[in-house]
Amino acid sequence: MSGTLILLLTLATSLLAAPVIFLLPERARRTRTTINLGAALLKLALVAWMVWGLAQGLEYRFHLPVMEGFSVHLVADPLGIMFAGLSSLLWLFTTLYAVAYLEESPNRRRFFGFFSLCVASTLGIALAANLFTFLIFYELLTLATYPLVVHRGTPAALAAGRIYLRYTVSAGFVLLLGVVWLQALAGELTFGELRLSELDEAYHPTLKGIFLLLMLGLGVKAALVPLHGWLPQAMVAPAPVSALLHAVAVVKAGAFGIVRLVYDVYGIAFSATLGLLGWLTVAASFTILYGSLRALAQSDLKRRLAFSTVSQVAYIVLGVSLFGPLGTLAGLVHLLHQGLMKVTLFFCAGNYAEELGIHRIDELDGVGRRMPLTSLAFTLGGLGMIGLPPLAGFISKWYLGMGAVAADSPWVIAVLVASSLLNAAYFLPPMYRLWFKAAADPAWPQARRLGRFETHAWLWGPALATGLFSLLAGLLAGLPYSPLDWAGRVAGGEYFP
Amino acid sequence: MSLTMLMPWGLAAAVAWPLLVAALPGLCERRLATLAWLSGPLPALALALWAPALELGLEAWLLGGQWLLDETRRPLLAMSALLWALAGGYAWGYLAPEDPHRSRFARLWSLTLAGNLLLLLAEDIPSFYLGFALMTFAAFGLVLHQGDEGARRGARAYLLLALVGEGLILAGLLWAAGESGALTLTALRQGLAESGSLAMVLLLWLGFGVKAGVLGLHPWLPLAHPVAPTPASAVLSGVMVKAGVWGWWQTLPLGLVALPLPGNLMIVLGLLGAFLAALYGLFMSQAKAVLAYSTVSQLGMLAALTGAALHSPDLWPALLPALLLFAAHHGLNKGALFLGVGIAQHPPRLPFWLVGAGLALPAWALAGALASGLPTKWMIKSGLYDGGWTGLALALSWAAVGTTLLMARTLWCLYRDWQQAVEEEAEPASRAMLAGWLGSLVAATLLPVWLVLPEAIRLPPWVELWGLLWPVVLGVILTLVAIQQLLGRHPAVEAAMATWRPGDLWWLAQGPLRRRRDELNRGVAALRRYNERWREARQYWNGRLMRGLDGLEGVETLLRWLLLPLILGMGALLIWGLPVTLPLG
Repeated sequence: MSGTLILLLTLATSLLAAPVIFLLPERARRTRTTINLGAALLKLALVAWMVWGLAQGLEYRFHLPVMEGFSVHLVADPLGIMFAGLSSLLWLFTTLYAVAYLEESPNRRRFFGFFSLCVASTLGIALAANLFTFLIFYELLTLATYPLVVHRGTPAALAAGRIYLRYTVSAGFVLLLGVVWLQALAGELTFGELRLSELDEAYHPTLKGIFLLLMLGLGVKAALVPLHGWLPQAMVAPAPVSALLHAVAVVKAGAFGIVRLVYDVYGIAFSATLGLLGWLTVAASFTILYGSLRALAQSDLKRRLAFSTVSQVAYIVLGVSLFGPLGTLAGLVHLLHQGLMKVTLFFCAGNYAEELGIHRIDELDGVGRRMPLTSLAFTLGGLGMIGLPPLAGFISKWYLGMGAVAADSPWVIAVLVASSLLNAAYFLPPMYRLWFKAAADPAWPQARRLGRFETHAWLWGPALATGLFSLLAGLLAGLPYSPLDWAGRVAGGEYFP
Repeated sequence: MSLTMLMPWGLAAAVAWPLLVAALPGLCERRLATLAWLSGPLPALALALWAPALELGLEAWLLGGQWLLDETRRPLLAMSALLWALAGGYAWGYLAPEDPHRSRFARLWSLTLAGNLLLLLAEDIPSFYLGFALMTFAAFGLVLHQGDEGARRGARAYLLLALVGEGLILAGLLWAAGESGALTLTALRQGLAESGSLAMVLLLWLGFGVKAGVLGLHPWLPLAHPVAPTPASAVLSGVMVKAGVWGWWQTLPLGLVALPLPGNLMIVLGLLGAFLAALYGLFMSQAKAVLAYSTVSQLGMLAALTGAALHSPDLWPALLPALLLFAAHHGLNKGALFLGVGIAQHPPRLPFWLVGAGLALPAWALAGALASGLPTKWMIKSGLYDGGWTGLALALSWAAVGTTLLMARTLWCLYRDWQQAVEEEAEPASRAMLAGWLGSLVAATLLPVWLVLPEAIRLPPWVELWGLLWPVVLGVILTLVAIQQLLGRHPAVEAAMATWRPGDLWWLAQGPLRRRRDELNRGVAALRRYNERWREARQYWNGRLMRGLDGLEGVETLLRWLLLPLILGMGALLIWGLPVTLPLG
């Protein structure tokens, strides 16, 4: 099979699944689930094939000129395929989870249709080879996510949706402005082939301005403080959507965009020359601490997790901003690790809400005995966020520290340690309640029995699976094709092509 | 594959076995599972006693695992595994079958054990940190086990300080490893020796110092030990605090470079800790609290000796075997003393003199008068004298007077516990408890016979005996004087002593901390009020703005009225102005 076909097929799996799901009647539950899971598995298999192919040195590229200077251009490079792999793996689990989570609830056709569209756009973002293509899929993601955020249709959900749109659409406008400006300066914006450093030095202030515009546009989805306001609001969405927003698609798309911007548009060396990286480090450090502090003050479990995302995604930006292969490696590997850990935590929060009606942290007392597997997954995710070995978060933190020293800013280590302590301060108390406190009486707000075991198998299964993945990603980081190994290849490619 | 190639995997098996046991179903119900649980530390013990030097490389593990069994690791591994095994047997008898948290305790016990073994065997930094963190966090559940107010306080103090320590250690390790690009502890030490960075050394010293009870970071010890179940106190005090000291030996550039400033700091704080803890401990009225302070005091001595080696690297080769012996000697004897507390509270049906002698034996040894105490003291003293550190040797001798007094106080507390237990007709200790305790006595007493050190254990020559024994004699005399002068004569003094609580600085910090917390709460409330006011102001200005915009309606009407004259006027101006300004004609 030719490379182009595989590339298009990967994108098409979920892009085609969406209209089919929209056309199916609401009650065709079994068919819909089959299509959903079939598409997810197929996509995962295709991405795995491309990973293998890339390691063999094959090329996957699709190029369709639209008009002079604009083209739809897709390519599977190591960085893109890394994000694509994460998204398709987590999409599979999130789909499984969503099927069980939304059982018996209305409008599932709409939900799963947009769900597929959402992942299709994420894949498009991952595989985009120029800024134009990136922008198209980026905006498509914004629009496809809105119906998911307001899915419940409650006033709170609608309000959150409005805020979400307000933030993301204005960010999209700013991003568009930046892209157009840059295109006017530098011509077609194919990733990795721009030569911005060859422009006359008189353009440097303009380039800095454009960088700021693009950062503002991408920073909204990546939830960099002070552009993060929509994220905590959006946690009113159903748990699978939160998982999608926080770990698979939206926030990740923003962070991924920043990675592309720094490495493949401006180039890391040129960004350093322009003096942009130092500011990015400071912004990321501030976001890390601010997000953690805000998380500490939340009593709603999902809100706490949302602020924790604000803080954790900034780790990625921090890694990117530290000049040197180690910093890059840390940022990229955390792109994967944060996804695994955060999706686990949101799955668990959803399980607690579905099975026992728990939304607040002080209602978690003694749940460890009632739901041991979910609680185990939560513990794995939380300890990983703190950055304790042998979980995935430790590997990220280790390389962030190494990168900070290599980039001559050891003060970043103080930020890392402070953030770890803050993470411990807001993840350890829920764990203490889970495992060491006795259940209150009456035990839980709305206890139900959704499955034979602690809850529906499709609810605890994905949570435990991603929890174990985040354990193994750290424990066996030395294995070939582990997140660390792949991020190492990408980082190596950026510095030693 | 031949046996010699398989041998290194024994290291992995020694760590994996307790982990596996922790996951066994029906841990406290099925006989086989219980036996497996009891056998947790045995593979490690077997390795330490009989295996040759081993090295295991695990490429896929974390950032590349490297585990070692060498001559420095062997004695501590042997001592740790042995004490874990004996305390495990003791715990089996100690925990009542109806205890609801029995299985949680058993699982956490095995996890703590696995962490402890891993941190001893690890040579790569991530594995070492993993072992340290696993031990630290799993032990939280052991301290908390009883679940009453004291246990919760002890566990809180333990966790708070442990987190501070973890943070400092992480910062130190990341920074030092980043600077030198090291992945192994040996490379880390060498890198530190080359850079000689004071900040990194301080971070590592204080980070591990939380576990090793450095003065100021020690309050968790006296708070956690009395409330933890007795076998947990035994391993906490005997083995786990040694992990902090082990952390120093593994990360600080000992024997490689002279760092006088941090070395002196370590010596001063160590000696201060040794003396102050001994003084404060005398006022405790629970045996376990006295023992906890004695641990702080002994750790202070270890810290001072380590500081001396950091100050002058020539000392290190002679001191290392002595320090290893000291650590093993203190670990086993302190373990035996802690296990003895449970025996005194549940007197077995044995003659009083026999049990009494058993309780007193490790106390004498720790004071330095018997068994392993004498060679330990001698090796340290001769090492210090050879290096010209006579002052430190003298200071340590005086600290040993404090130890003797603390031991006397412990025995006194144990005696009273015993009396009370006899009055209340407490149940006698189970056979498992007795076996664990007696085992620890034998192991501690015979320590110089079986422990394999990098250097042969030397017994002091006869002429030196007085130099080693005078602190004990002085301590005993002081004790006798104190008993004669104080006992029963000054009820006020005894009443005052009864009110002193373990935890010293913790209580001092409580008041200010509570005030800080109140201030913080007030600050948060003020912030909220400020937010409220801001919102009100915003709404007000928003309203003003809207009203202002609405007011434009009037302006527009006015404009409409003004429009005609305006246009006419402009037209007139244009007609008049054009010929004036333009160069027409």
